Amino acid sequence: MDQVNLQRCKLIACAAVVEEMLPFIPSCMSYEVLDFGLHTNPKSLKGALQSAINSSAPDIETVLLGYGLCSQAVVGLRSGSRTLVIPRVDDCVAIFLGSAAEYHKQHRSVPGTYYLTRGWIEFGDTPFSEYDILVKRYGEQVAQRIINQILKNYTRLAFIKTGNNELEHYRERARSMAERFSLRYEEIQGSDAVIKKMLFGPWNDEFIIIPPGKTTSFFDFRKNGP
Amino acid sequence: MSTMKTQSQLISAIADLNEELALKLIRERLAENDDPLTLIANCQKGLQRVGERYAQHKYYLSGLIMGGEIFYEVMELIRPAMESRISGTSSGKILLGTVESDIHDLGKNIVKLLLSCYKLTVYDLGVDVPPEEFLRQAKELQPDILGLSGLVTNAYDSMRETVGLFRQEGYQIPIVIGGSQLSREVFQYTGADYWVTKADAGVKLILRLLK
Repeated sequence: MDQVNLQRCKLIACAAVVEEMLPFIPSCMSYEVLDFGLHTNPKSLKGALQSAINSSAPDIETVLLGYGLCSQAVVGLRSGSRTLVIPRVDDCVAIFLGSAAEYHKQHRSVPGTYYLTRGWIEFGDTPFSEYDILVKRYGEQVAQRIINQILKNYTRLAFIKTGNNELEHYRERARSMAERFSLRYEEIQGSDAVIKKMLFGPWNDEFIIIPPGKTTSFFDFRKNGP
Repeated sequence: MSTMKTQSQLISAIADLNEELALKLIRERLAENDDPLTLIANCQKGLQRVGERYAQHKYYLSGLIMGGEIFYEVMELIRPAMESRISGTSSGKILLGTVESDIHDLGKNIVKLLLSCYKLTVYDLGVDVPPEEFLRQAKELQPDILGLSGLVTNAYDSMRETVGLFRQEGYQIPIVIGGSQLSREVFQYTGADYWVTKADAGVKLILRLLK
């Protein structure tokens, strides 16, 4: 699938992911952005993804999903009359880091890492953004207790540096969040490798290709099978 | 004895994350010698509603955590009544842990809390536990059941590795995997013997396996 007819491709992406894709999306490619909040309920996300796939224009042959396995929300999606292309990654952190292997490496080295990107700071319902709401609702003491529970096994906040042009602004926000919640702050260099390959090909084995008439399975995301 | 009204009050108090009211109701019902299992069932029903409200975006993640916190407080009050109700000594040993590459333990801790009420011996290895550590501890502690917990997708690979290691070593033990995002396909992938997505289902399963 090396020759990609961009006009016949439609991109469906999460609001947090599309932020990093926008500079590369060709003008001839149609795209649809889904609400970031959907990820808290994988069933709703699956429903929204299926509707977005089904409602693609008649001339669309290939649907690109800017999602990973994402709590298995993409498992069970039907391709219908089109081909689905999905990065073979667990979630969008791997998309931002440029490969599943790099994500795996990061995760193995510090499992208690909270990852942030510009998109998440902007759209995400992170525990950090929730703190102020909690203080209003329950008072400072209870808010702190909840946040301590959420973050108790986390040791690091990693800000993924992607190609956006307001790096300083978001970097400072990430750094202050880390400081406020006593997490070690680190920056990790992001990569646009997955995004570019997804938009322009080639769709190598880093991607799952679901032909027309098929359904996605968890095993598509694991090369080593059942 | 509790009435439907007092039961639904407790369920609502938990669902509304009203800690003060929930604890007050628990104290009152314990004073009336209410069945601790009914109280726990009511609390679990309340927690289920918290989960539903989270799924409907009425609560944030903090709502789930707050629900768990209230549950811990409630269990501290219920535990003495529960322990005196169940006679005899420990009738089973469970080895629990969150698998390698995962640090989430909300569900695991609730399972641990509930199991301890049944006077079972629970060995909790904590979070990010490597397969070799599970095996080493199993050989030393001789548990009846191994419980592997995990939330993130990486955990599925660690569960598979852990189950694989036990099988490879010929160590015979029922292995239960638990996690809110598990599915039948993931269960097949890991090679475990049983799977549960909810803490109370995990406790029921373990009690059944120990019979």
